[in-house]
Amino acid sequence: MTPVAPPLALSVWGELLEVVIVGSVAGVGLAIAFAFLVRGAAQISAIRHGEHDGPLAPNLLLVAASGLICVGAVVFAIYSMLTG
Amino acid sequence: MSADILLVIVVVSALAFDFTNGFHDTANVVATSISTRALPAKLAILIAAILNFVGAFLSLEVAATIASGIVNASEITLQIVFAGLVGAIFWNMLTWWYGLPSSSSHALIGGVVGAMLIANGPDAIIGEGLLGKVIVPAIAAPVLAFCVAGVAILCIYRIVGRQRPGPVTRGFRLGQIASGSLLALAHGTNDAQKTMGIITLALVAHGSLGQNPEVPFWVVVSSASAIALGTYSGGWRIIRTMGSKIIKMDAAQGFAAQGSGAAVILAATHVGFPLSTTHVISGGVVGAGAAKRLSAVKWGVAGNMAIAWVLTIPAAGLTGGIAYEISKLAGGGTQGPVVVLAVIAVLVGLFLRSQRARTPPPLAEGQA
Repeated sequence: MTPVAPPLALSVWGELLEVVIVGSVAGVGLAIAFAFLVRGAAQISAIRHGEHDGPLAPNLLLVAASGLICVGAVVFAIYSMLTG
Repeated sequence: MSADILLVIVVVSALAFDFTNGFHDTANVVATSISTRALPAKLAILIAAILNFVGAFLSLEVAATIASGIVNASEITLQIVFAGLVGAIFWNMLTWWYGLPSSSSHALIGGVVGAMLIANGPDAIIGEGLLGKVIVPAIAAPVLAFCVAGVAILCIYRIVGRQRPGPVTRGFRLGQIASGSLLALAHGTNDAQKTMGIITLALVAHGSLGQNPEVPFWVVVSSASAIALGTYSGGWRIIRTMGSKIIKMDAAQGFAAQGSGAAVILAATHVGFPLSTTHVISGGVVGAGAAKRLSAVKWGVAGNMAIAWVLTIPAAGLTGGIAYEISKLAGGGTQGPVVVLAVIAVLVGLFLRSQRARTPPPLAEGQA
């Protein structure tokens, strides 16, 4: 008996697995990075308005790092679209 | 000459489908931004239309896969493509009328499969392709988006939960503008390509292009324009369903749904996997709501959506099959599709007349 095109079936599952992994990591990762960006920005705003005591530098660092990740993710997404 | 007229009918029908696709799927892109007031409605729709247009030029990977692997390409005729488009447009308009977000790509595939089944029998359908490229992604897309959006919103609440709500809401509204824009771009990248695929298929059937062709540039431009115009026209019935009838969203939930949706769609586009944007975004919206509180989701509305999804391929397929049969009975060739168009015009006229009859006349002055 000849098997019915197993390579195609495998490639479909392989592609689906890739979509699941890349989509999950990108979706959750982007949400976490942006949440840290919002948190840092909210903390900086509170410190500047005297509503919250605490050092400014760690929050600035948090905003810069998470902002960089978000921008990087968007750039990578557009790059993927262009090269897709 | 006759074949050329038929090709024109098919291309115009494909662009009409593309318009309904943009019109129908506007909700996917803008509903969350509008309902959380991240953007005014008209501006949100304008941005979505522009980015849908731009997105259509970015990748042609899905256009290459949608046309092959599901039906036997060598047996496709222009009459089959036309009947398939009739089935898809019918289902898009019916679900829009009831405010149900359903997949335009599945309607298109269903229409073509139904017409092919009537024309050439079950042997012309590639079962494995239908399973691997349509049914498996249809189940996987909403489940994946549901899980990703659910985990994303739980992480977001954990990170910003103790902050003042004002700046946090403003932050996520800004984030929604970015994620919504990315989603619109991804939507254009994914969905305009389906029309490009079907027009390319028609050109192959006509003999203008050889087997395994590249998508011509005029096809890319016209498909991008049709989907952008459709998006700009807006489909308010579905926007209401997606924006407020499934869950009452806050800005963070809107961001989680949109961001997850964009990530999943872009991952699928990168791999060349024809995922339904409707399934992805709907799954993301329900996931972002259910993760906060299960009772926050109006499961009756979600259930109606799921029923519409299950019915999409059979209903579009049945309509496509009927359209093909009418076309065949009318003698096929060019006159078959012309007769089908005449039948559709009569049915639409009767429907509009019945709606007018149902609307009560305005009260005369002094009667109020």
